[in-house]
Amino acid sequence: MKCQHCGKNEANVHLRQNINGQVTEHALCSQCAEQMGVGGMFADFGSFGGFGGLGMMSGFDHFAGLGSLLGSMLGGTQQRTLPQTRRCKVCGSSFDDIASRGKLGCADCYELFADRLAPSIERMHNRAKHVGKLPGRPAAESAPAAAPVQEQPEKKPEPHIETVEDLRAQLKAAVAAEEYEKAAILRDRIKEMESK
Amino acid sequence: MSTAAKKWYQLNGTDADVVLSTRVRLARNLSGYPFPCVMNDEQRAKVNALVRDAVENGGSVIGSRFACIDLSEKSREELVSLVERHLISPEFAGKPAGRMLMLLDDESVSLMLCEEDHLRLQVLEPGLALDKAYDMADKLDTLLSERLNFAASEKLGYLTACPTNLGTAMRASVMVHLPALERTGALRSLSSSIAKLGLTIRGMYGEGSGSRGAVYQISNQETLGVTEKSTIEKLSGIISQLIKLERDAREKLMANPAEQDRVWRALGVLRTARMISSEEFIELYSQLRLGVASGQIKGVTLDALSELSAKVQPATMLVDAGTALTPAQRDARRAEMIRAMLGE
Repeated sequence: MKCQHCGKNEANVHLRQNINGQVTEHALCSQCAEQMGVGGMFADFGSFGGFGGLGMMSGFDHFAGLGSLLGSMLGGTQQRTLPQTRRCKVCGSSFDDIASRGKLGCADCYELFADRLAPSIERMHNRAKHVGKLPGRPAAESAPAAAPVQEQPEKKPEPHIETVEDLRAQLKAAVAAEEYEKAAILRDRIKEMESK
Repeated sequence: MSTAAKKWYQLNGTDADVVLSTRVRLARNLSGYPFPCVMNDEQRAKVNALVRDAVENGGSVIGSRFACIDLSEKSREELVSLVERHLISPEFAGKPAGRMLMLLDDESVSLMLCEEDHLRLQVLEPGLALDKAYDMADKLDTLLSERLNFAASEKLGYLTACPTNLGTAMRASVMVHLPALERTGALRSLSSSIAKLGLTIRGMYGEGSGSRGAVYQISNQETLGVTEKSTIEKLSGIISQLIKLERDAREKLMANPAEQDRVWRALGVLRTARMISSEEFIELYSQLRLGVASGQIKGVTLDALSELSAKVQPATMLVDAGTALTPAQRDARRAEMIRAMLGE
């Protein structure tokens, strides 16, 4: 979906407003959103430092004041109401419930609403991918790419020739995990492959 | 709660002259159950029972040392006292119905059940002990994960009610006493560089950036795209530098007779006052602690000071007293306890 404002970039900020029951949705690219002073849907989602869960609503109050500004910028013509609401089978939450609550309803919501949550989660966490512990995978293993210590005969990896893209992805993960030695090795390998 | 085991805050910690305590907290949720913000009573009871069973029968050597506390059976004072001891959050204490706390006898490990997430596992240690606290949290989490189906994905890590905690779902925090850096004004610029490194610094008492008693909490912000180990190492590195800076600043500060006078005066008031409010205590305590930690004041140990500060918190005092106290009675009793410990 293209940005409704500039019509050029891919829209990655989805804004939904409810003013006196009149629901409008806008899809913007991050540049246009920034120009208008709009963060991601969850830009101010909770307090980063705390586990307390306070301060959730501050970001949404911010949207309320944007009504007229956005309305004028978008010409006020692209309003539409959603035909039907998708709800999570486990917890019954709709995406609007999640947005107004600032919290998801259950773990399944992350998958069901993955596309709509992605822009805010990416913004919140700088597009990072998980590299830490997972159930059944020890924390000592610092990145998913690292080989497990024990042999796992039933789960042999497919034979795979590493491309520069693979290495770049690994490099990014290594930098994100602050494994700078590993990152340096990967960087050198990328250089080597590119020079061939 | 067993009274036999010494509480974690009664023990001496590493770098206790600057670091008061270390905390590591992990958030976990069970697959297939709504998060606490939308779950019904029946689902909450089921999740509570599942977690309780996993803690008590999960093969942990400390499994039998946990007490299971139903918060709805606790008085208002007891709930606030749990908050004062950093065992539950104020939000959790505010809605005690159906809420459970599992607490190790020495209070160093606690599990809040169905707070924001199904499980908030917390390990508290005196002094600087990030590795130790994390190892403990990690081991317990691994044991629990053998019995409980924790929600997680390859890409997002542990799935939490609030997406800010996705990934490791871990907050490691260190509570530090920085009176000298605060007094010399160096803390302000340090705070902004700490923030740039992806850490959060907050005053422990009072709102916002201000802090009473020069006590600050420094914790990690990032949870996605970082490993638990790298988070702990990064925080450790920053704290070590802060410790050194604070010690250097103390040495310079305490060479000044006017500053020496301040800490001695604090001791003087604490030793003689007949009524001390909680607010006044926090300020005087901060100065006394500085005096003791920097070697100006001898004959008082940091251990004793830590124990005292835990005991004279308003709600904890009420619970220990076992009877209702008016604020004036409480202030008088606080002064009495301080005099008993410091000697008149």
